[in-house]
Amino acid sequence: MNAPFKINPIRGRALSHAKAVARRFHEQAFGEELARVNLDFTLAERLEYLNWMRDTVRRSGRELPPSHSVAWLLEVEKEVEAEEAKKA
Amino acid sequence: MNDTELHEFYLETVRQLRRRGVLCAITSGLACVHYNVAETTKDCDLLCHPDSFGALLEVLSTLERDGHQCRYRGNLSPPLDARWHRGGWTSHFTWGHGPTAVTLDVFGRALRGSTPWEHDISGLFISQHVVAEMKRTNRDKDWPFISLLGEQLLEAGDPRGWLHLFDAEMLARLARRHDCPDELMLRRPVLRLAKQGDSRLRVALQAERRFWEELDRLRIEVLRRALRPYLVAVARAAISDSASLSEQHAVRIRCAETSLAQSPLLEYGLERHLADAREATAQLVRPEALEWLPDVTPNFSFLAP
Repeated sequence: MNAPFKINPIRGRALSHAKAVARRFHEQAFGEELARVNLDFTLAERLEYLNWMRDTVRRSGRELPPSHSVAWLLEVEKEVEAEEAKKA
Repeated sequence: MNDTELHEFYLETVRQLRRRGVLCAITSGLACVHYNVAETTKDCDLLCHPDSFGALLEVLSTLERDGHQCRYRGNLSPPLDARWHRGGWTSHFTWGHGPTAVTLDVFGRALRGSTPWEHDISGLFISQHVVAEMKRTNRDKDWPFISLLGEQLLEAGDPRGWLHLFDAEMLARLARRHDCPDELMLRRPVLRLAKQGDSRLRVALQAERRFWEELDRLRIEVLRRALRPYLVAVARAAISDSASLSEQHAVRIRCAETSLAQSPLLEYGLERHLADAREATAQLVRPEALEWLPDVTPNFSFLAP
């Protein structure tokens, strides 16, 4: 299924300009290393790099943050459990 | 199971669901990785049409990971049922416990999606446009992703990318060289500032982002209040660890029918919610920036029955 607003892709110099703007933003927002991961790596290489990042986080004893849709649910669950334990 | 195997597990799950005729697509973090914007999350967020929830539940019941059956996650997950998903609730599943658990978060509706996500699928993934709309959260880390997805859309010739550029420098550079359709400038007034090279662009963009963040924060506040009685009910139901997924589901439906409002945000009032967010934003930004806030009403059309 295609996006409803599809028009002609950017080509030539305009495309080069857009790519240069994106790389500059990648470098500013995530740093040069992640810019390379995002823009120069293949999907397989990117997944391997992410594996390494997550392993490093785990080995340092920290937990990966939960997804946004779950993070607040976990907070409420803890609060409710604490309240119920207090009542009991 | 390492992370590459986990990634393949999610992809294969979606393929299996598609073979069963389930309308679904991967969104959020894994979609970002697919679109060349590395996210460290290992959770999978799945958009699934509510008409397909029965088939999804059947497939999940049969899927094992590392010897673990699929279960609803903790007490916190609302049931996988269209009545609650229409109101913006999500459902959460897990295989195993602790840091090595494999998790799946299911969305029947694309939160903040301005158009039906079912028309915007690319392979196993939802389009960059829908991912970018769903990522307008109150978390700092999401915002650079949105701008990058917007830039990718523009590169591919999809002008909806203009709706997702939140970095002032990037927006100004692109606006100087590329055309932006008038209808998008009407929908998102900061685009006009960018086109005109107006120095108020940075302030207006900050206000716009704050507005989205407040909308998300206040939405969660409303849902938190609605969730508490349901959590108590599920905890008291003390579902056995050995209960099958369908048994867990049946208990959650019973608990939700008595204790979980189906659409708390609509009950609270959508206009009231938008006004609250505007007022909260006004406390945080320069007053003149409020005139550049976008019309976000289409982004709540997902709540329509």
